[in-house]
Amino acid sequence: MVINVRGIKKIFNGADGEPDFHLEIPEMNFELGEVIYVMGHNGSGKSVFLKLMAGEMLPSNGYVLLKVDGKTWNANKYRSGIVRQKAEESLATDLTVKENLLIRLATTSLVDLFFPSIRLHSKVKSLINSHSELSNKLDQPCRNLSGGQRQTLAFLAVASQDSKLLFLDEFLAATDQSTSTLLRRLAKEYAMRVRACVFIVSHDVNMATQDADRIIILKQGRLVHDLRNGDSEWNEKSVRNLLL
Amino acid sequence: MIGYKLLLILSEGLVFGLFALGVYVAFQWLRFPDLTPDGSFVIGACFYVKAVGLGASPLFALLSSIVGGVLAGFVTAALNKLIRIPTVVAGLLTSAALYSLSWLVLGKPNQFLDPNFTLIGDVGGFTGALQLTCWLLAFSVSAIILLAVFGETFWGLKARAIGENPLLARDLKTHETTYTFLCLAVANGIVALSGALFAQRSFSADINMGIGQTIIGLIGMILGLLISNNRRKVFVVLSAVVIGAILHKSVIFLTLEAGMPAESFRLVSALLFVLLFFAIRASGIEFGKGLKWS
Repeated sequence: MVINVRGIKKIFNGADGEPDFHLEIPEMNFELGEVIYVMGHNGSGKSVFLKLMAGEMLPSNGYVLLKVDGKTWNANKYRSGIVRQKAEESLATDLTVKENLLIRLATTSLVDLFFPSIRLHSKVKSLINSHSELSNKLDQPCRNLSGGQRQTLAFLAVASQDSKLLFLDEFLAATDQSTSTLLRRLAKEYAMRVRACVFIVSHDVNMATQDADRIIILKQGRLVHDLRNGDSEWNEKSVRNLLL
Repeated sequence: MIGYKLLLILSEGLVFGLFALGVYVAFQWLRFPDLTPDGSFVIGACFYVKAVGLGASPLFALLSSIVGGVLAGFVTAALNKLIRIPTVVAGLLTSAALYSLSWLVLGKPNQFLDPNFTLIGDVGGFTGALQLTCWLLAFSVSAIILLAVFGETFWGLKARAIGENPLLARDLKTHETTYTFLCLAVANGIVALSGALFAQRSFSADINMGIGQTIIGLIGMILGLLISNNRRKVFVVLSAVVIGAILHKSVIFLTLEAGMPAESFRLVSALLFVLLFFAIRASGIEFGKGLKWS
């Protein structure tokens, strides 16, 4: 039950055809159930790393293997969950809160497919019950939601698919204190409940040292540090220094 | 006399109500600025006239029209999704090709339709208008019900979600292309049906009858959106779109009755469109947001 990164490399060519930026990650393993923070300055390759892991982009060299439930997948064949910085990218703002959750649920019968709104109502309810703000707006279109509510809904919608790989790309950038506390808790719970690898891209060192099981730091396309919770350098100050 | 005229307006409105439904599916569900209707409207009428000419029953001929429209939708979807021609150009291209195709199907630029080959047969005057209106009403209501049910099914919800946000296709383990084909087929199938029904009223199919009709459909759709006033139920919105098309035709009729020259009907429509555009901007109803251009 691991994610095995086999020395991936991604080269981007500049205008004159010369290599402009390249990301190189050596062989790495990630255990399921881990919360991993991916940190680094802008342009250090965090997003590219995430895209390669999620299979949205293919590496120039090497590959990412997922060993889940005794099966081995190539990363681009596996459907991982992604919540991006803009919640709208994971939502259809014209559909209601309920419909946004419905479309992601698994259907078991033909009747479900024809009348999802009736058949899957209880499932949607159970997903959203503990979030009163959202459950009160079940039949409102998403564009009527506030930023924090949208981000919560986007997380819940993606999380409802129980993917073993969850990527959260600066997903707390636009949320207030209480929403971000809630979403951080939900992300940790998700890793435990689904036994999933949760990758979080963030610039918040404080949050990382509190929540993460592991922090990886990228600099100019290279993996420069790989810290585990419990290491001697696992405190806010040292991580801040390592990031410089 | 008044009753007869009202029936005529109603029946024309219902024909374009179906047209507006097709435009609505393409523009508001798929967010695809589809110009194929200019062509699929004509191909619907031509297939109908040709099919009854070959001895098919009217209902079977209508079916062939729908098939023609569905194929037209597929062509536009393929041009856009497989060859990557921008949406508007893909639609224009298909409707340009359909212009010639309609001509080829008919064998001449226009063809008279024998009243015996219409849905109601050779019945004229008030009775004929009443019967035709009943048929049109039946078609409109069935189209609304079918679309409303479809829009709430799993596939319908996915189509609407992916139409608005193509990024979702990956999350939903499907492809945007599939739903582009599906929605354009549905949209143009309905438009072709409205073309075939239009031929029942005009007793002819003419290769020029489609020019500029997409705008007429859009006006009906925008009026419908204004009437539905941001309501959520698919059924309500679809009904409003049909009512919008009927209203539009009534307005045209009234302006012509009021003394505008008959040739000015397109001008009136164009002015109406501009007015409605202001109205929809002021009302805060979302129209044309996130339309795909490439």
